[in-house]
Amino acid sequence: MSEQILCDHVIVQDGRIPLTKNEEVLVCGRNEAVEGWRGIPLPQAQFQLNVILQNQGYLHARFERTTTQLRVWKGPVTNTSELKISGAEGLVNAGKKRKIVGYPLEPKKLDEVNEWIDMSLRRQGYACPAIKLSAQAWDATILAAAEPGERRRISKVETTGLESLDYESIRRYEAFQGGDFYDVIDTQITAARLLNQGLFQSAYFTTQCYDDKVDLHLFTGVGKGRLVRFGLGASTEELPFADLWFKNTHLDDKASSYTASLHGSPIKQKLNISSELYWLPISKRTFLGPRFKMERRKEPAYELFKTVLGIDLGREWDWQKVRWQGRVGPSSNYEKTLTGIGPKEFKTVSWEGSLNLMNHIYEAFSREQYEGWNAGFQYRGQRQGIGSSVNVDRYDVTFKHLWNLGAYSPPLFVFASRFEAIAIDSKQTSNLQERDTLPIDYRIFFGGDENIRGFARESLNKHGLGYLTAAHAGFELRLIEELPYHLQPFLLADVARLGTDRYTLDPPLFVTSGLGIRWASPFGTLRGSAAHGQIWHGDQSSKDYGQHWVYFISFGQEF
Amino acid sequence: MKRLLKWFLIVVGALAGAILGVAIWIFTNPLSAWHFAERHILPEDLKITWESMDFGLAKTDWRHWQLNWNAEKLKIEKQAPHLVVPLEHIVLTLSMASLRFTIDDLQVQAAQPVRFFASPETEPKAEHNYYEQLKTALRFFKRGQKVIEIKKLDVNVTDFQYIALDKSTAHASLKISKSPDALEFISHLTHVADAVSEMQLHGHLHLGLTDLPLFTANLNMKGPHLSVQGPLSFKYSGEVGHFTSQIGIHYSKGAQTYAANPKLRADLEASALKISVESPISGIAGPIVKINQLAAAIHIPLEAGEEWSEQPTTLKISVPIALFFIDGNLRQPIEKSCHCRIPEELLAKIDGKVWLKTLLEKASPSKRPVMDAGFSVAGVENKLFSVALGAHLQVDSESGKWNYAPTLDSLLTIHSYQGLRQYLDAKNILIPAPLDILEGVIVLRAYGPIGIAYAQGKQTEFTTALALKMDLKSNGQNVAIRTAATLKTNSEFKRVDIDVLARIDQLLLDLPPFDPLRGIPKAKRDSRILLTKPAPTPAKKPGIQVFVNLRAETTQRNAIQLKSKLADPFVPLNLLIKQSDESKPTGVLDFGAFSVTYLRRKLYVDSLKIDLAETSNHDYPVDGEFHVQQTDYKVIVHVGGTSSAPQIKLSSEPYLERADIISVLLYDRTNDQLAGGDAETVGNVQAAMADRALGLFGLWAFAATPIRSFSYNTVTKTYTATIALGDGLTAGIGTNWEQSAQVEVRKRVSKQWVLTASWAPTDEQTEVGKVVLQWERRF
Repeated sequence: MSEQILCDHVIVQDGRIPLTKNEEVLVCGRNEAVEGWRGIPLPQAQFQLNVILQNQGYLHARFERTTTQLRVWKGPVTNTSELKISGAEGLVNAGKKRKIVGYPLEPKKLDEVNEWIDMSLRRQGYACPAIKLSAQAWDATILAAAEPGERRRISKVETTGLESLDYESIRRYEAFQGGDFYDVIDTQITAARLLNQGLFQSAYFTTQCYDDKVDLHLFTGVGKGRLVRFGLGASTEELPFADLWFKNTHLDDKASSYTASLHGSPIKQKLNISSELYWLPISKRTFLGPRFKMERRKEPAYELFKTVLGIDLGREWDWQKVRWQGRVGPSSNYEKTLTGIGPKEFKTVSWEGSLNLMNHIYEAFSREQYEGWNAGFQYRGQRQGIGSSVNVDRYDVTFKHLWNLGAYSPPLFVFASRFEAIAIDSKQTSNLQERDTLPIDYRIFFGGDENIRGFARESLNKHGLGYLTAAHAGFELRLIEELPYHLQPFLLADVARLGTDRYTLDPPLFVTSGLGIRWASPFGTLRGSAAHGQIWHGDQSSKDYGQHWVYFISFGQEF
Repeated sequence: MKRLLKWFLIVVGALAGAILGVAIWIFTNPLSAWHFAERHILPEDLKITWESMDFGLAKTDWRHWQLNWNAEKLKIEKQAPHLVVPLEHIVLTLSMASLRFTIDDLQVQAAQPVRFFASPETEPKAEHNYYEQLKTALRFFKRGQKVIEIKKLDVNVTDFQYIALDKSTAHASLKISKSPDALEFISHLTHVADAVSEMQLHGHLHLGLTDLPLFTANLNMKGPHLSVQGPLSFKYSGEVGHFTSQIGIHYSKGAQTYAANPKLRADLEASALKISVESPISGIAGPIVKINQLAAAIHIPLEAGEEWSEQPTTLKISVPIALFFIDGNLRQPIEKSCHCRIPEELLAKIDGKVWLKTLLEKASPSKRPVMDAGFSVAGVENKLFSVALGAHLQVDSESGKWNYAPTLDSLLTIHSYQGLRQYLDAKNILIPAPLDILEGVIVLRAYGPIGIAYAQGKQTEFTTALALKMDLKSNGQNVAIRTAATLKTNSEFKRVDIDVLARIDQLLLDLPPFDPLRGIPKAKRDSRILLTKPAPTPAKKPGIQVFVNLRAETTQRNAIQLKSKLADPFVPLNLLIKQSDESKPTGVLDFGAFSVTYLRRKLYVDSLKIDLAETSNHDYPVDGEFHVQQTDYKVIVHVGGTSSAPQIKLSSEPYLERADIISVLLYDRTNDQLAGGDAETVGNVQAAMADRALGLFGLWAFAATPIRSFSYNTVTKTYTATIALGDGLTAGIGTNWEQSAQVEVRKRVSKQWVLTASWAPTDEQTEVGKVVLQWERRF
């Protein structure tokens, strides 16, 4: 085994010892330092190296020292053989903690176990647990003695820093209710929602336990309400783009807000004004949402200009550890198809509504994408005679589930599945020749990273006419924390069937299989995939679709 | 005249007649005569009984008489001193001729235990010294030999018991018989003491005053751990008595084995008793010394008519002490350092006087000296160190009360601290950097009287003083410390209390050239990882318990100056530390004002005190105030709580809200002028402060360095921060500090422009990410 000369007098005989610059000072001294720190006495170097090695899991290092030289044998790393947890039986299962057994017995692993037990208990109502960690070098066992304390319910919530804001209105962001068992995830979600709203510059909770209760204290910092941003950037869809964004988050003491944004790129130019106005006297969670959007979009199959003016009635609430978001309202639309198939120009009134559900675990760990689920239902419809030439309704149902197989921490495999069903109901356009009277939003274009990945983006479009019915399921099996640099390889499979007519799914079956890799970078999630599209039971309608490998690289987009 | 002569003859005749009458009465009525003597002549506490007694006087020819006395079951009892002597039988045949007696036969048989009970000392003062007593005894023997001749002697005492005051009993047997030219005796003792279970003395007593030794014997003594064996001899010639012995002493207990073979000679002459002892010794090794030899010379003056002379006894003891702790490996570097030869041995001497008259005789009401002795070790002087060890003990007595006046005067000077360091290096005792390059002198002195405390007439405590002075220097460093210590021990020497007062006059040291953002190295390993199985605590051996009480203090303001490139001008420190074995250390570290300049930012430490009274969380209370002078504001940070979980209070001049203060501290702008990401950073810092997740180092980093981003996880209570190092370089720091997490979701490219990633859902409800070069303003 090669030797490493740490400095003139200190030699590692079996491999390398990584030292930080400051550790080097304590082991070797520094030539350019003051006299007292140019050299280190060998006994001190030995002592310090022993500390460093033991903190790296080398618990049986050996040293040989002469008057002029120190030789170091790191010896083998002591890997943890067992993790034992006492005091939290039925609450925390040691067998579910990965990356501990078989890994070096070092302080950061003890910290990791401590954090995991602490968080596991605090997710189950044990708001103020005490955990004592120790490790036995002779049998490489980590022992965790937990004292969960009482399982506590949330008693009261105090706030600081809300200034003139109405706390009852702000409660719409709370992921918990008084009397609920404490769950640290709920407080984290609440703080994140407040920060995302924009008005708050800081939001965090502190806890105080007593008896079987826990009091929460929300500390917030309210910023000035008007925020303007200007940005230049890029996304996977657009390169480059410019944004001008303005938001007033403090229209009143209920934190009503409106946002105006101007977006420009070669593909899309858009003005969007939206609002959430908590003006209704009957509810502090229900809002009015007047909105206006003007957009020009250029896609491969079409180029579109449209404006939408509408108003919604919306509400957001939490129930059964699920965030519910619903909104519905009419819109006045003006749309002009500049190129591609579709009505050249029309004005109409439509109804739009949506109901989205997201469970708290999914919301809290949305960046990690380890577990949880979300579901959504969207509706859009317009009626003939109110500016529209046809009666048409669009129903979208989506469901996504992330399954941490074995419930390990961190997960070993995450099995992700998503289902989507889209139905466009328009009797008047059942005939293909009349399909071009349908606005683009009422035609289904499939293919791409969002649904069936073995086919190019919106390439399954029936020569630009689009489909009226679609059902697809996608699956992904992702390997977690087994590759360096947090790279996560995955296998993927998608299956979809489309229908030209309403409520009808026709052959063929579009199938995709492939593989990819995900990297949760500090700037966002980078995903790359290679998927091969196949057409099963193909017919005349699918003969123009290619069956080949499709490569995607996306940024910020999850499964 | 005739008449006078007539009366004289009548009186003498009457007296002779009376004596003859009494003699005839005694001879014819022995029992009545005995009872008369028992009642009127013998001591009242003496009781003599017998079962049968024959008494006969026979005339063998006209000049020779023979007395035969035979007693059976003779028992002698006396109360003071208390003794019981039951004799089985006693036979005495005594011949008398021409005023010379011959013991033809003397047999004494004691089969029953002969008991002697110890009583408090009531012996009258002897009026003769040992020499005179010896001379008297020899004169007695000489005269006795002229009138008495022993032909046959047979004394057999099978069980002589000595019952001590504490009722412990020692047993002995004694046989004395007459050989042609001497009396032979064998004495066998058992249960003499705890250390001696068996002792035998077998020898001869030559009473013929020939050239032969008066007394020769062989001593054989055994105990559970002790073995003593060797010859004893006493010879008297030329008016001088010579006692010689060379006995082997061997003591072994557990791993300890001691052996000595002292050659002793005592010459008793008219003017003095001179004793000399020389002995090889093995096994006596202290922590740092070893004794192989001992030599002693004692001169006890004698004075005619006095048991002990008024003149003092002089004693001289010399012990060569081997410096065995300086082994071959050590000797070479030390001798190289001091350019000298380290001696193999140092000669320790005890030289003193003892007034035996005061020591052993009845107490005098006037103050009289008892002892005046000095202890010294031959000095060693070289370039590395010099040693001069000395002690003195003076004892006097007044009205039975003994007064001790011991004093110490020892000096150890280490001329070369570097030599000491080399020695300690070889002994695996670490002197860490930067102290290892110092050079200078260390002086350890034990001096002055040893104080003695009394309680109820008994010595209860002894105290003495030590002083240590260090004067060490290197380029830019200086250590000047004076340490005074007091040693206190109880009369049994079972407990030693050492009070140490270290006074730091000046301590200039260089701090290690750390780059704080590279992580502060751990100085000790994680105590949660146990390297060895905890062994069952062994029962504590009763031994000397040593308790150290330490007090360290600086003698002048800012006496400690820790120098670093970051600190301007240095880190001034004052301390007061108290530590005792029985309690945790207490005291305070009091930092004076200084500033820290790092990454072009300056933090002023106005005050900082760390209380060394450890909390239950193994943490230390802190109280300090820092300030940072930003462009328009002065931000004042007051720190309370504990070092790893400080409570932070912020204020500013002019007044700002807390969020604005943090904002100014981080970005030199108020909150409303911040971009969104920076505002979030401010919020995260606030959250971390509230959770007391920022330790003192974290606080320093966020106050004294340009923070680019700060991310705090309220679930795990850990933070990561990115610090701008300049020239586009960043460094990540974290709760664990050693972590160099490069978590950064925003990258500032100028004061107003930030490169950021956004996950804001688009209105199409998809999760499309964007990389945005963004300008932001809140108003």
